[in-house]
Amino acid sequence: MKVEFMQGNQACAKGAIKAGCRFFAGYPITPSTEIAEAMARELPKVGGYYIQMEDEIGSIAAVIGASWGGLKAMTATSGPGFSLMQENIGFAYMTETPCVVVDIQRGGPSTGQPTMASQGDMMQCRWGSHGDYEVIALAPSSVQEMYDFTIMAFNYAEKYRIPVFVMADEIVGHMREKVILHDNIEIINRKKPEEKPCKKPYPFDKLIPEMPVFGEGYNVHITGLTHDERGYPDVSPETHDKLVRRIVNKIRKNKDEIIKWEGENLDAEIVFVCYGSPSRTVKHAVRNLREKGLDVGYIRLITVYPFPDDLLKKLKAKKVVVPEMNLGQIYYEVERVCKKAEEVILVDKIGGELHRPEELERAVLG
Amino acid sequence: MIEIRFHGRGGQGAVTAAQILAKAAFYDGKFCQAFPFFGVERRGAPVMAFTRIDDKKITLRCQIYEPDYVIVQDATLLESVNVVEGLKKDGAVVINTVKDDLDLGYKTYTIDATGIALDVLGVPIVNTAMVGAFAGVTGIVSIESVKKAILDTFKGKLGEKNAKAAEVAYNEMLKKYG
Repeated sequence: MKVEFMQGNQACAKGAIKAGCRFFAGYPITPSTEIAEAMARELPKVGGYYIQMEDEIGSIAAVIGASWGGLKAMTATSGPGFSLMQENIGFAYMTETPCVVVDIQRGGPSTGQPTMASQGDMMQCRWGSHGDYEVIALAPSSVQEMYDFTIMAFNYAEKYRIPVFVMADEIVGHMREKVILHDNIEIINRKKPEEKPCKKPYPFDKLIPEMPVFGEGYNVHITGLTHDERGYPDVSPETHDKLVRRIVNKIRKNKDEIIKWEGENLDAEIVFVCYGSPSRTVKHAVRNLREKGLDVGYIRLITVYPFPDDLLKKLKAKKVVVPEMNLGQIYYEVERVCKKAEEVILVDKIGGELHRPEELERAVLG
Repeated sequence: MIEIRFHGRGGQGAVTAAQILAKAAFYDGKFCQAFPFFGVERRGAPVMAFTRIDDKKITLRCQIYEPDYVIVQDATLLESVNVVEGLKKDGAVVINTVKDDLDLGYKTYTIDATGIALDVLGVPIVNTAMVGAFAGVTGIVSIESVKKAILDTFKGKLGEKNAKAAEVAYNEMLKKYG
């Protein structure tokens, strides 16, 4: 176990390499560029590959190709690049390609605020590509979690054969803190089919099929078109239903295993629901409000998606408070689920700064 | 918890200074964090950076609005930026200037960091000298840890020169303010 002082983006790169990532394709974009820089430096040392692509569309395409070549692969970007990736992210869902996309969110829309923090891409990460699919998205709130959650993202990607998002922001990306580089972390690797050639790479009766590798004699066909069990195009209603339901169900049926959160005093009258950087401010505000005699708790979403409907439905709180560095995104998910609450309050913040504890306390005290 | 805000201009290394100070605290066995706040990514544009140092785990992530110390790398910022905004009543300013009689309404420690940088480095990049000066005047971090953090950040001859600049500034502050 090593203890180092490092930047969040560097911790992300360290976590990726620890998880077994051996391919990175990306295009420099503030505030994520340090991840690319670190990967360019470190990947060759472990026999990996770094490639700077012509744009973010090419980057995610290269990542998908590398994954089918048998390597754990990732890219890192920010809002504008994430927008460009959405079509190929859909392709990765349809072809069940494990990969990791790290989004160091910045102020938008458009070019927006390149150097400022935001949580403006949270709905895009859930609904950014077309069609039906389920998402796994993690939201780190510290430099330590940039390391830990990147490893977790690769594990989820490999286990469920899915693109996984690490939805960070400029604050944790550029923050420098102490990081414990654990040794005893479980690393999950993909399973390959035993059969060569592989006659049914996409079996309808297997929730998560093993993943063939190009160049190893599996002789499989990959397409973004609706495909049958052999991987060949078949756009019939029956095949589409079977395929897409399976792709969706591999997450829905495992959501209890995937969803991660932390919290305190969930039976309180006032409960904060938070994720990412604002979570740290929430913990301060909760402590201060308790000292003032208020019955306050919090739930901090580690995985923002799959969204923890069942957990939030159990809340008895009269007041649910959702702080976000946007004008309301996850707030609407919370509002949809927390029907028992008398009010669901959004504490929005845009412009690049993180909430201060006093702002959250004011939202509760009125 | 001790909170420090750095003021500089793009290209002067304020962000690196905050990082070096935090890393020095890390080497001294303290909890610490450092982070930047840019307006635009442009040389010469005003930049802020922040460092927090504590004996226990730091959970806050928001910007520093009420610092204990302000470190000003470029005195020309006084014309356009309220560098003492939010500074605690008993807070202090460490500023790079040749003037000794600067009245900012707070305890003010002055140092000619530009002169030191030109002497030692041959260029007017003052960030490492300012961290050394801060260590000398406050004792919050040791000069040994500052030098170690600098040598981590800059390799070879460049690292040695920057460590020297920090040490010269440190000693000058000890002599000046005891």
